[in-house]
Amino acid sequence: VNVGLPGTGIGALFYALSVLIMLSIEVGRLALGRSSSIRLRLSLRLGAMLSGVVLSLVLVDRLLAAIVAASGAYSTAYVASNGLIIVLATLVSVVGAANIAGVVMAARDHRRSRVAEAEG
Amino acid sequence: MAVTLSPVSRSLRHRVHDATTAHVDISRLADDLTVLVPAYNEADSVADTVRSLLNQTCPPKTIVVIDDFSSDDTGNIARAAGATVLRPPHNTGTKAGAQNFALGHVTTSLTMAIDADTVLAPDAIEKLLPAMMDEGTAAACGFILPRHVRTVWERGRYMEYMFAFTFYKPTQDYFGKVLISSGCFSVYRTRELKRQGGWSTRTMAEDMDLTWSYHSQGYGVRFIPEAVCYPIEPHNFHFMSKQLRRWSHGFVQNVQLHWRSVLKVPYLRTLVAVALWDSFFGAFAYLLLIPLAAILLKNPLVLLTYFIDLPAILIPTLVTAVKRREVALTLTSVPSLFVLRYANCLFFLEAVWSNFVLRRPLRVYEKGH
Repeated sequence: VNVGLPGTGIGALFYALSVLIMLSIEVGRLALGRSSSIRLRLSLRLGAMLSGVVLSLVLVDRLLAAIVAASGAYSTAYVASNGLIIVLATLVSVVGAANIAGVVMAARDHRRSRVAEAEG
Repeated sequence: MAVTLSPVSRSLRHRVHDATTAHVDISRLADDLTVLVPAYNEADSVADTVRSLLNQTCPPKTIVVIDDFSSDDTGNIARAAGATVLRPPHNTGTKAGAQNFALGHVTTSLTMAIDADTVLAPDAIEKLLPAMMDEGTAAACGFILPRHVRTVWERGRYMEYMFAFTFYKPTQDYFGKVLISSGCFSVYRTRELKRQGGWSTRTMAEDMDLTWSYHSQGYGVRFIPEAVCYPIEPHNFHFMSKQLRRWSHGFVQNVQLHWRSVLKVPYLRTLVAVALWDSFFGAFAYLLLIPLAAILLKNPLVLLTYFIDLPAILIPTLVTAVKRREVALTLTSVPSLFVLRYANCLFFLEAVWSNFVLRRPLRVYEKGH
């Protein structure tokens, strides 16, 4: 089973941010002398891919900007930056909502189990 | 008991795993492994599957083909190829049903599930089994690539897999929350699998159901990219539509079934929320918003939005393509990805409509590879 639409929407940005977090965790572990070669290699490989992705996205953005500017339709810089802000804001909202719901659910369970303990 | 593992504790587990892997006698693990191959009318492909298992660098102890009351010669062909064949008294109706029929006969510590249209790379089992050395790991899966990459549908699926298994799955594995241990090639700890009651038939995606159950109970699920398998993917729209319908409904059904428990698992809840958002709103934007914007703005250049994420897909895909010497195949398959994505959108919205609005969930398992 494959889920979702790989590459599109907030998913791509989410995984990109995950790789950045992964890299920072590994740098921290390396500094503490607790790194593992397998994990370090994996994070460096994914980090290198991410760099390539970002670079190519910038190039495509420039290409599209040139095409759209030639058509004289509207400012592409405006469209691109607003697009990124919208996607980022959506990602923060979705991730935030899921995590708040998770914390609320866990707190509720914890409270229920304490009540049950106290009663019985 | 729901145990939530933080990335750090998972990392510690990984470290134990890293240290012990080198000393593992993988053949001994393979001697404690039973492979289950559910098969319904798979006469054309089951022999290849059995042969690929027998030719492994670490062959399993037992290969069981469950001939799910096929009307063709699946059972005899599998037996002739060297497998033990079990045949239920009637068709079980689902792949999970066929697997559960055989699970009771399994006496080994590890159980592997492989589809009857899937062949493994010669070292796939050898590469996959070390993941099970960690007692906290309940399941592990490998890298999937279509066996044939000819039609537009196979090419689209090839691109999806190349991207997801190169970029998404390793990230999920790092954080200890692999979203799905794919049903076409996964190994399971038999004790935990039996404790779950085997593969559930309550949804159309038994592999997702099992994986999320494991995560909710604190078990580990691993992804091992070096273990490669090659299933036959749908070659035309008829078969692809059956598969996409099953997968879309399966995802929606699993969200409905597991949302409470998934919300309690950090990172998994974020993965599921992001996948759900993209599946629904991404599909909506893809099918309606973008073309509508192009019409309202009277500018066909808006349609370039469809291709804006192409570099994000192409770069990771090309990394694996270079390694596999499949750069030309990858580049010529790019247009097919957009065709399959369009179909994905349609089928996902149909699944949401059927499940949430019409309240008519898909209950009949239609085989489509």
